[in-house]
Amino acid sequence: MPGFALTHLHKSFGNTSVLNDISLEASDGEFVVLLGPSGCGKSTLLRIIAGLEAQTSGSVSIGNQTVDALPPRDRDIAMVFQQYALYPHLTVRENLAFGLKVRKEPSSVIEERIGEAAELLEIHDLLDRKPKELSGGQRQRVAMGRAIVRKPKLFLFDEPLSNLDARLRASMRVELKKLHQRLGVTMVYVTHDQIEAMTLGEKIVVMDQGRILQIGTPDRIYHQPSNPFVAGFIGNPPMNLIKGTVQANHKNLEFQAGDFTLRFNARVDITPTLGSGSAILGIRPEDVGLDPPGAIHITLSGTIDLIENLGGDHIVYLVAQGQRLVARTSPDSRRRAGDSITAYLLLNKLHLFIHEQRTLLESYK
Amino acid sequence: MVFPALTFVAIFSLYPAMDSFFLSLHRIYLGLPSLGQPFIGLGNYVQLFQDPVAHQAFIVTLGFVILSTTFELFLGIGIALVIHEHFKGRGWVRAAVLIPWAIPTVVASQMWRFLLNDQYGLVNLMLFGDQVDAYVPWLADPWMAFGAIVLADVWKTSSFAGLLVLAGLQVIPDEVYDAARIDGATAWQRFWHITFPLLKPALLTALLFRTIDAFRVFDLVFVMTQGGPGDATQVIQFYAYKTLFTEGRVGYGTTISVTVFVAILILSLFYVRTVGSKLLEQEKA
Amino acid sequence: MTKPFSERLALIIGIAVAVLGSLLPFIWFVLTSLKSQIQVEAIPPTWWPDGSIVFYQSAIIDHQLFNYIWNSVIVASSTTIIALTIATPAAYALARIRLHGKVWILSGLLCVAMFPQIVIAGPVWQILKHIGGLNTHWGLVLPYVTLTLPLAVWILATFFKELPHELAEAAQIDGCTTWQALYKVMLPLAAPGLFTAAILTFIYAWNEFFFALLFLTDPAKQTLPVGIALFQGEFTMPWGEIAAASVLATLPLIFLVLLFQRGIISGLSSGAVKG
Repeated sequence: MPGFALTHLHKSFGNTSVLNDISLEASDGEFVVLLGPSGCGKSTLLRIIAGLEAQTSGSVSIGNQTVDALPPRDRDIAMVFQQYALYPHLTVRENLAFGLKVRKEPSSVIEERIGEAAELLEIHDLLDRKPKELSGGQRQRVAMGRAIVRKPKLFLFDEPLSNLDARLRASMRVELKKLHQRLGVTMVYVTHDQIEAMTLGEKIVVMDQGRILQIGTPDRIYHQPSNPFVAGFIGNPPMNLIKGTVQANHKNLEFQAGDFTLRFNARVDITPTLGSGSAILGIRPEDVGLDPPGAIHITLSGTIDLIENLGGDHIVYLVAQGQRLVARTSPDSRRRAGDSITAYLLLNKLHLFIHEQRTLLESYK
Repeated sequence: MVFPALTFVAIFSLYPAMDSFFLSLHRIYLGLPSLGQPFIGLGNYVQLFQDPVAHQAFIVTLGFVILSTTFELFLGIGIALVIHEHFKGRGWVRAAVLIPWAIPTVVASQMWRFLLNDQYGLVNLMLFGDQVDAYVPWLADPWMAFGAIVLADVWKTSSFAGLLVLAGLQVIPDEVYDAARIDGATAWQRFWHITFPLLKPALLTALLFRTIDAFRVFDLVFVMTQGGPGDATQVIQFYAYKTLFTEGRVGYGTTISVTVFVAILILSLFYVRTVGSKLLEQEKA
Repeated sequence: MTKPFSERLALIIGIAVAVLGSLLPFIWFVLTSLKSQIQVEAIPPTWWPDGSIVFYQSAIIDHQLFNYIWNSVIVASSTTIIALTIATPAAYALARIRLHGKVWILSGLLCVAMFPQIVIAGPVWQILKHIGGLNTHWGLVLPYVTLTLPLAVWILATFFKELPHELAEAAQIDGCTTWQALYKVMLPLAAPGLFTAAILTFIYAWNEFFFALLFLTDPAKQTLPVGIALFQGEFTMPWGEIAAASVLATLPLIFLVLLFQRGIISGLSSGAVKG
């Protein structure tokens, strides 16, 4: 049984298109993260899955059932909202019971479910309080409890941690992960926070401007971003992206940006199709070294602009052959701003994007 | 979900308003059914245009509207400034100020009629004390009677104008006043350079609400003067009422009321355009 | 920061003028109602009453005051209940749901609230005559409901708009229909607004005179304002009785104002300035 599936979803408000041809599938029990900057359409997509918003065209199915015609209450889903949306006039216990009561579950079942959820989330002591007497983290737990008691087929989370302080967010992240392992239910989680996406997601869906840019495991998204947007969005500090031009023929492929040229041996079968045009070369800061590495690399000479000391790491901003680069290195107290250095770029960690698409650079040597 | 509300409004407001317009194009005397109800186009409006009593009524109404709204607005600003301050017992003061608004207009009218009574009235007592000979029969004099209607309306509705202004005051952040104090502005300067300009939308709202309501004055006149003495206090709605319901001249009566309605409608549109447009923008966003 | 003396003095004077100006005229009426016939007709008038309740007895017994009060209670309460029942879903829809032409409905309601009574009086009279609503309480309630709807809808819509949208959505996901979400979640939360709207509607219906005068010609059916306006003595104006009746008609309103001053103020301004 699939967890859920979206096929060719479109959504527009008037003339503004907010979602464009969204197709996505998740297997049962999978943790799917919708990641993207604000306004990319991820929340709208979640609301369409919930049935709170109607799609303009396309189809949503949950489990084996197409739910396009069903109102939210019949979709067998639960949702945790950004502001928690706890009913202020009800106690925690009544909040948890609400969805079950509306569905006319017998009170013995309701009691049992509340007991389970309270134990799981350790909110036993809070059951008789009103939401306004709870701290942010406690509200968050109650909101999750309200979703858990329903035992839905699908959990939806709309940036549920964004209102917590950094420390609480980190610990709730861990709990959420455990919860998912425990319940084994399909979850869809919307966030703009790449750390949440990387740590929680089994499948990350990167979105921008109403389109899906890449779907993949956290590893794949990080190490093989399929386009410059994904490359730049994931990772902190972000990947170095050097804009330039590319020229390709049967013999070789040449990337040029300013006075910086990079030549690769050609791969006969595909290189001619690349032709020439604009291209972007990317490399992650941790793959830019200031000490000679063992692996195959290219070198650039330049000067240090600024050093940020993070304790465990140094973030070094440098200008090399006309290009601004950021390097993440191990601390070296001898380096100073203004020093001349040599930067080493690991060749097998270079990403080349031509026509906004990732090119199989591994093949070039 | 909106349907029941719209149905009510359609049956008991929109349809009657349109029906009135339809009736105003006919000559109808309830007392003389034999005349039938001939269609006379704009005949009634032509007649209204030439009717000296109607002119008088329009002038009286206009005078009433201008005088009462002016006073109410000034008093309203005063009231709002007072009940906006923080002091002990403010809740009680606010309640006290609201009482004239809550009192039925009919009661307020009887009350002022009695206060202005030539023999037993408080006004004469306070002005002239024991000098009974000096007592004035206020409501018997055309000008005084007109003034009395204005006075009663001002007493009754200044607090409502005050509330609208208060709502405007409440959205002005305190920080602005603190900044002005630090800049050395006196109380009067703070009012004139900060409060007043920021209060303009609220004042406009209050002005229009009061204007529209003052156009519809009826209860006061009915109870206090019956339009008299002479036609000194015969406001337009009272004239229309007499024509329609005591004389049974349905066509002409509705003509008067439709004219009032159109005047008010123009004002309402003006209101929606100026103050309401902000709200509409919010709706769209 | 303490205020300079001049500002405090101005405030004290302002408070005194506002309170005295608002209350003195009515207090005079209250005093009058407690006087004896001789005192009322004294020239010059006397200030202090001797505490007689003759006028109250006379108003209640000779002028059937309780009958008028009862009529007013019936008309005002049924208007309030019906108007709120109709206004609540409308306000909810206008505040919550993406609805075509909602801006027009709202501004239309605003305009309807400004109609002069006289322009609809004649045709409404005709309608009521057709359906047998003249000289009945329900016949009066119908136009009252119409006239109080705009304000009630505005007040309630303002309240609904301030409630977080997520709550209604959470309820829908928890298994509620739109209606259930409204009355199980949103309505309890909008209770203060509901209450304010109820009070204002009640006061309107309690005080309304024009339609009551036109549609109720049978003294047994008439409401308080009509009763008080048409109060007649045999030879002279029965000022004492009028004062007593007025005080009784106003007491419930004073009671409401004292208790719910805060809600009334926010409700009255919500229709006007929130925007």
